[in-house]
Amino acid sequence: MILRKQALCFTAVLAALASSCGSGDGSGDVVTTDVGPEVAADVFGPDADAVVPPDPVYPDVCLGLSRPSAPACGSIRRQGCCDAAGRVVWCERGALYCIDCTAAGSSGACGFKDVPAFTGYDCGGAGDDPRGLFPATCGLACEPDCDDGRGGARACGDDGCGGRCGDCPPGEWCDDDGACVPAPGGVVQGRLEYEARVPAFDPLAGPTLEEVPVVLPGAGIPVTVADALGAVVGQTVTGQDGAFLVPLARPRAQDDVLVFATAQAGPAGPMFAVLRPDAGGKARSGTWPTWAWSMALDGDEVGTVRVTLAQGAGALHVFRLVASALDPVVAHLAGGDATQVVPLAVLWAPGVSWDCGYCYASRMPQVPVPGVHLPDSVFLDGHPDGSSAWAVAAVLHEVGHAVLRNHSRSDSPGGSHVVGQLLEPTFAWAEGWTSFFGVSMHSRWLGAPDARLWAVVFGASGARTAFWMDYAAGLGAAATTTPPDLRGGLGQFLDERWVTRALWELWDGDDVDDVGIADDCALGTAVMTRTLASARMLRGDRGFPGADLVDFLDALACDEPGRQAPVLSLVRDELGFPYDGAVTCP
Amino acid sequence: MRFGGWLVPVLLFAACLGPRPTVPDRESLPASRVSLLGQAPLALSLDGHVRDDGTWELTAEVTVSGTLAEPPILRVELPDGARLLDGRPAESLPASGTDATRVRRFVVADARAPVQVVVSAVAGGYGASVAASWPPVGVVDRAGTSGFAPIKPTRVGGMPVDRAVPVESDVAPSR
Repeated sequence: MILRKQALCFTAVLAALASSCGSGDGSGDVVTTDVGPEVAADVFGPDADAVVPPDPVYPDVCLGLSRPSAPACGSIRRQGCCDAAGRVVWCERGALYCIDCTAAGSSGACGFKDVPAFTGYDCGGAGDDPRGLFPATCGLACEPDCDDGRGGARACGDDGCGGRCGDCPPGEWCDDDGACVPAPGGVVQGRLEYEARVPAFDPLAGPTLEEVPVVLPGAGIPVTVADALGAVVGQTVTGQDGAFLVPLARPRAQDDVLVFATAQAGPAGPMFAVLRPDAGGKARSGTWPTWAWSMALDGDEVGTVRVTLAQGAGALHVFRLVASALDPVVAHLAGGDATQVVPLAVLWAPGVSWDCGYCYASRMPQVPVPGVHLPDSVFLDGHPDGSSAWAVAAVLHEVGHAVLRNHSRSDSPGGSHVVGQLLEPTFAWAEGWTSFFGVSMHSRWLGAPDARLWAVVFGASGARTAFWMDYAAGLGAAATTTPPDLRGGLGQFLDERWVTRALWELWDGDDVDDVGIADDCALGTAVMTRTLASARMLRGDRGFPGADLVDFLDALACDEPGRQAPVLSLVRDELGFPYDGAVTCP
Repeated sequence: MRFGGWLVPVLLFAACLGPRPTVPDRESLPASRVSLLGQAPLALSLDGHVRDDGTWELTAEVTVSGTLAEPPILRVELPDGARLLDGRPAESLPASGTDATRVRRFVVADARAPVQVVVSAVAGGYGASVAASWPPVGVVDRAGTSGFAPIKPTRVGGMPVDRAVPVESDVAPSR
């Protein structure tokens, strides 16, 4: 016993000393559940501030982790590469960064790393990407190969670079030559559906969940037929109605099983997954597994599989929502390249609550199985009497934080914020945009406008808190949203709900019907999303220092000059913000 | 701590002696802090105790933050058979803005089940409601999701999977 105590003491002292030397990433220690600056720990990170293009630029300069070395990335991607001078260069939010791995004090030569919080080229890495997707040498690119060897192109199968040459119609098999053929083993077919809970809104008591669940199609869910040893015999993704036709490599056998899971395959590994934590508490990294459901196959006709609430149907719901919300992100913020989206873990399980309620943390990695790394995490409250997986806009609000952080700019100081507070513009922008992302992506998913964000959470003392807001319900004396001061400046503090409201009014009328103000702005998801990553948004600054609504409106004016008149009319005349449109475009 | 006089400096020296990277690399970016949903502008704590005469004395502390256009309404919800001996069963609380705290005291007789206090503020397209019970209602353990059973390791959606919830279809087994 004495030895053990000494060992513990020794370990603790060493840990403290190592910490005092400033080494290690310390990622497990930095994150706290108290509310602090969102990126307070990123003292030397690309979030720090630097949006101003340097002069001269890379390759003449290599400015390290905290400042971009060039204002554009060219062909260099998020994963980066090693240049001829031994430097690692990579793309972050449209700007090129560089660290000189040959410099004194570097952690080692440039090479590939695959660790939970980070996958790509870095100082102290080793060799090339073993998958060959991201060559080490800058300027080299994986060349997709869809040649069928006979002068034609393969219709299906992998292109060797993480992409696809094409996909076969449901139920067909992709043979070794890349042709779609009738499945050698026939097909297994059926339909997946799940129970879901929908909210009811009481004017006084707020939202509650209807006791009787509805049944929704399990659309877009990956499904595999595996043999008795787990080998994949066939796989597909369920259709919009939840139906599936799994083509089999060989006829169905007695011990085959059907498995569904909440993991979205991407070119460089899972893009995101809904994981099943077994305990809540402090938001943290873990090794929780992916939600999955299995059944023995008794025939080729499976019939309808219904996943109940008790069987974790909420995970299917969350999966569908996140998949839907990430589609425009890949299309408009990642240039259609899904490898440029930072893989995301979404943690949810019935009865498992986090002390942060619903929250997001970047670089808080999850490792559902060894070798699979999901660097960013969204934690969803699973309290049995709370809004759990069913508060859709709140769920997507947290996913929106990942989008804003990884693809646009978030200069928000973070910190505790109460709905209704006037926040500094960067803070109001980050929270307002993520709520807009929540309600707009939910509306897109529904195919109808629904500008309500709501949640029901429980505090440590057991107190139940419910809140709800309808961003299309209008402003005015009867509402609690504080409008901006038309006579104030561009840098005035804002109510995050007003920011969401403004973005909603700019957006609606294209993907879904216009509700709220009958304006002439119907910018839709494509324009609103592209603008987030425009040069003006990423590198300009006007109004309050840092990314805020003014920068977004300026970016809109630069990218969509033909729409400036209705935007000005809406923002100034209808919503009362003193935006002047006096933009300087890059 | 017999070694306290010299052990710490020695360890400090040893720990810092080796070559350590001083140029931060990409991996060394620390985690961000957690981003949260905005908090409701109402908070409620409810404490209580049983007095010598068997009645319950409850103290509700309501904190109003942010801007509320309408004053919050406090309601006391009594279980069947209980009587409110002291305190108002419903009240419109003055909402004076940020960080206003109101304390209300109640005395309840003949309660055989938890007493609930609810504070709500509703205006326009926005509402918030907080509720607390005394004695606190324990969280019923309804985490009981159907079990996760081991399966042969396979791959679904690009993800290795080795556990799954057993499900059934509406087609009767044929064997």
